[in-house]
Amino acid sequence: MLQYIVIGVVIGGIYAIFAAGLITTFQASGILNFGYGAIAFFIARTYYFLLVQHQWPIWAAALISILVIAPAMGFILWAALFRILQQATTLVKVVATIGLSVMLPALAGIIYGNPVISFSPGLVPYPVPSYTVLGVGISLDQINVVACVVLILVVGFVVVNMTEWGLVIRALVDSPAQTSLTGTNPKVAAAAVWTIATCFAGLAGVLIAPILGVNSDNYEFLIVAAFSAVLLARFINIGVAILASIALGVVSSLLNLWLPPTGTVSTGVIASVPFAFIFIFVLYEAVRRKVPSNPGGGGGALDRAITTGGAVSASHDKAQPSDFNTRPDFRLSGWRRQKRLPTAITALVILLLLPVLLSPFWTGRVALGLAFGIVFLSLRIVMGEGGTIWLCQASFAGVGAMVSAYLITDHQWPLIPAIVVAALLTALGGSILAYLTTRLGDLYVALVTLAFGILVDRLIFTIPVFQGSLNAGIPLVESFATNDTTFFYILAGLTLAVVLFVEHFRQSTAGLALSATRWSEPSSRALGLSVVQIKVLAACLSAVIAAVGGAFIALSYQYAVPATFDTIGALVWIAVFVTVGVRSTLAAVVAGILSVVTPAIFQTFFPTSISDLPPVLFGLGAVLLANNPEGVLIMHAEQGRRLIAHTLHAGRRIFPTVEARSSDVVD
Amino acid sequence: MDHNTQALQVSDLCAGYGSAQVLFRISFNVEQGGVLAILGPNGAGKSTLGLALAGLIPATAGTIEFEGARLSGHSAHQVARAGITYIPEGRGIFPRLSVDDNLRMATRRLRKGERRAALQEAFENFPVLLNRKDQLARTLSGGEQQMLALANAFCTESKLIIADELSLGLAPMIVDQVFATLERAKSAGTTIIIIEQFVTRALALADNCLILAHGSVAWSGTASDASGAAARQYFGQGVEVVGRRSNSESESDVDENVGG
Amino acid sequence: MSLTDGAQSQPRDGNFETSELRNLAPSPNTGDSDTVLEARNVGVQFGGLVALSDVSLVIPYGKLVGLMGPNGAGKTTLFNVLSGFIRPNSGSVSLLGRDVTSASPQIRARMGLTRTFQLPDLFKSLTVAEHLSLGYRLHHKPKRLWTDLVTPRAWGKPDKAEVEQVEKILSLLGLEEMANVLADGLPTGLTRLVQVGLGLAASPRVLLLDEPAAGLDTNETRELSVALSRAVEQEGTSMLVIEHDLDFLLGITGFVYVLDAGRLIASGSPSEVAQDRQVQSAYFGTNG
Repeated sequence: MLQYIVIGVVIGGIYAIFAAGLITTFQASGILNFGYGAIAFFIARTYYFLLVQHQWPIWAAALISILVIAPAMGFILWAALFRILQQATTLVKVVATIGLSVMLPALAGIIYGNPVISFSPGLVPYPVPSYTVLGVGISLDQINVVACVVLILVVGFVVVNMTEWGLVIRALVDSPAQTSLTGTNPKVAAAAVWTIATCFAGLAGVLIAPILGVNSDNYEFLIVAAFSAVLLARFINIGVAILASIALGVVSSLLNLWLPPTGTVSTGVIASVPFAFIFIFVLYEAVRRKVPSNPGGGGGALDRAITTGGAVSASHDKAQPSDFNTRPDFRLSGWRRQKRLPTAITALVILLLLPVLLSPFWTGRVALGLAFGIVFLSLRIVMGEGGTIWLCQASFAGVGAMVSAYLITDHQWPLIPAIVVAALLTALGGSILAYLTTRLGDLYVALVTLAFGILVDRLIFTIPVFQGSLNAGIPLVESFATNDTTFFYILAGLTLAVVLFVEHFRQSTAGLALSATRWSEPSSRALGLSVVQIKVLAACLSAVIAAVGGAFIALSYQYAVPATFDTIGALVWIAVFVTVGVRSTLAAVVAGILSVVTPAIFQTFFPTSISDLPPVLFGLGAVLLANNPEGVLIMHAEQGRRLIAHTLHAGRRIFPTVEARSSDVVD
Repeated sequence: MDHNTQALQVSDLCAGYGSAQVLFRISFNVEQGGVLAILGPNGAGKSTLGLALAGLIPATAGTIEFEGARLSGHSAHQVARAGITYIPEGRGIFPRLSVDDNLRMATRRLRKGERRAALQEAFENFPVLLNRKDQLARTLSGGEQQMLALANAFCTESKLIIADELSLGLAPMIVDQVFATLERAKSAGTTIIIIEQFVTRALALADNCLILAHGSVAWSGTASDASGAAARQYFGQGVEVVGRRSNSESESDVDENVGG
Repeated sequence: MSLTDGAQSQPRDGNFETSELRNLAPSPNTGDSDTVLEARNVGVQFGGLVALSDVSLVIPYGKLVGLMGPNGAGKTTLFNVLSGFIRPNSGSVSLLGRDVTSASPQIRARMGLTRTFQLPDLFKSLTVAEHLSLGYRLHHKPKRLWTDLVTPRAWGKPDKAEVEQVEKILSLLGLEEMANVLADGLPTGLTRLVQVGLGLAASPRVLLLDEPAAGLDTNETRELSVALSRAVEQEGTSMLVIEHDLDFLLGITGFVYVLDAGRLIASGSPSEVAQDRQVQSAYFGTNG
């Protein structure tokens, strides 16, 4: 048992370093860094690169990666991203840091190559010596982790509480604006905080490598798990976060001991502890109505007054309609108010000609892209129109795929009833999730939906039923579409139907109402709208569309495996959607096609060394959102698109509609 | 007016938030050691003016000069280093730092010996803070928090104090204490700008007065002439001037007049 | 036309169908049919802080009433109580003769009470006209919220009655040219007007306006007061308006209430209260 507690303390200690870093940076700038795990991974990967690939001595590799590259990276990221991001809306902050988490691992792949990493050394030369203390075997790696955690925490505590530097950091964390009023430059202090926090992330990343393996997904999980400690600390109290981290580590480890050692269910349960914790904690708070809005990071009332302009403004010039964005006249019919109807028809014609123009392989890719497009169309409702940061859409798509595949293969159901049942299940799930999260602030919704997605991955998709023949997955009926072209046309028709439905929804009274609840809940309620009803409706419709999209993704692949719908892996979907697809309904389809076709183009036409470039571009696109402090996604989606379009010369040649469609007028 | 006696000179200052302009060509001067009251109804731009003077929001046009040096275009920490203490509306303190740490932040730029002396002096001048030295500032009462904000200004020997709505939400007795402290700063020769809702109190302390309306200067003049103008701004042009007084020395004057 | 029709005191039965509404007890003194909205002895405490204490006021049918008071007097808290965003610790609120003290904002909205907020927050991704359409539909065609999803109505032309109502409010507020402009980025002055329009689009019995003139310049203020007066005269809408500027209130109302530190300290015509000693001390500061 003591053995398990030791392991728990080690893992908990790593959580603690991450949680402390997350809280400090959140309080100093109001940004919860979803990319923190990716930063830790990047440094760990750098260390591995120097140590193993280039056979540097341990001390040199550690020095360069943890004490040179990590701080440099922290400073650069602060200057280029976090500094600007401070003024942005929660949606942009979350998506931009998600962009970071998508971009950095891929970037690491490009810079350091993609060797098979079977063994990841820590700060100790191999073979790692083990000691027996009180009858418990403990490796020097584990001792290192505990020692470093203790050292960081002790030194951190002393520095923060007893030095002049610490005073400034605490002041900054309390209120950047007030800090500047005492004559201290808050920017210098903030840069220091981010630089040091990145160093810590790097150290923690290197320390944990022997336990986790140098695998970016594991690092991202670790960060989301650390979020649970951050939540328990209510984004403020580092002491509570540290204790909670260690408790979480120990509890997870002890479950390992207590639960039956075999069976995927146990593994799933153990791995889900922190995420279940996030889920339950936030919902409990929501029921108690304790967290009506976002946690207050980045200072107090004064800081908000100078960023959002708390005061009302006067206008001395007569405003003209030409100064603003306009829409077609409200007296026109819904059809005539569709500004992009000609473009849409052109795009549709080109799409229908594609099977004639392209080889069967590329037709298949585009068909898969359309299926992804349907999932992105579902995001268009819940994120694009509803403004909710909804990070579990991949799970709904996954349920659509897995459940319909299960019904078809194991129970010989026909396709359509199977999809309907799957969609009804996701509708239920989406509605319940939306109902439970309606009252929460944006950031809490992001965390809960992310935790929900991971729970689905670990608890539901690990059920033996969905594992099928595990690796091959569950093959879907191949007789459904007799050939690729038929399948393509079926998907094109379905996509068209979903596009029309999304536009229909947007124009309907419910669509107007969803926009209303997004921008001002009080005003909506004063108009007699029930915010809960509208949000549940949007989530429900969105989940159904995602399920249909998911089912068709599986149909395109000809098999359904949970890995396709992994929540962490699917964060790249969010990056692509917000970068390209949030602008209009058509753009969502384009985003779907791009997300499939771009990697395919890279794999086919470019050397493998840069096959990781598409995720870098998608992540970068999301990161670039930060440049617009107002958080009008539209403009920056435009930037990201331009960037992608520039890079993908081949994309234009092979797939001309990408350009034609994505240059549509922004709606 | 002699150029040298002007502590602060503001000319044609424009400012706002993002694309929304709030202040339109504001101009005024404050003499060395003088007290200026900035009055005006809600939404007139008083607090925005305070933020712009402190450098927390940028001036989009116009200039601010302090003791002959240009301040506009500098950020808040540079403005603070020039000897200006701005106390924002809703307490100019670090709520989650202790009283002691608050004062240490304020005196960070002093030399070691000076700093110790300044801290000691602050606790002597504000004995109420000494008992609360290790408490978090947010656990102080509203009045104590304002005292702490003022103590910050005192212990750095600010040349100019800009105080936004110091008396908001305080009990009358505490308001007295706050104004007594400002009075002390005034007699020590500190230049003061007070942004206030309570016209009478502000005008009793001030030498000059600036009334804002809709983001522009609606009236400016001596404090003694200001109360009638203030009444018109607050209650509208159509209302009879109340609180006429030629002599602003005593507040009982107002009492006699407002009844009629 | 519908706006005028709706405003005649005939009950809009459609709004009373919901069972929640039927459950509301009749108010004790339903006798006074001239009263649209009434607060009796309302008290609100936040923790130990008394935000409102024993406040009573009456908004008569088809009248505009002003509400004044210095910062922190409790005006917005009173609005929150009247519109259902805060439940008072004591006292009661009645709307159209029914006790609504514990009814939600949505229920009160369906009964014909709408309000605006001090912060100029609009629905940024909707145009000005879409705001008004939404306000209109939620009150006159509440079922469309759901039926639109399954009928092709959204693709067709908007209803004639809706267009008329929207055009009417646009012209009332001088917003005709801005009809198809997105609300995002509108200057504050226009935002205020759209907020008022959003309230009016619902053809409310009573409209609560929280500082509608804050941030408006002199011209805009004048235009707003004309628009409000016309809405009251033509549509018979009752209004309660928070405003500091007595000049503004003088132009549109004969009666104001003055709050200070959570209590009603005066009521009467604007010029009367301006001369009131307590009012002056509330605004200019206490002398003790």
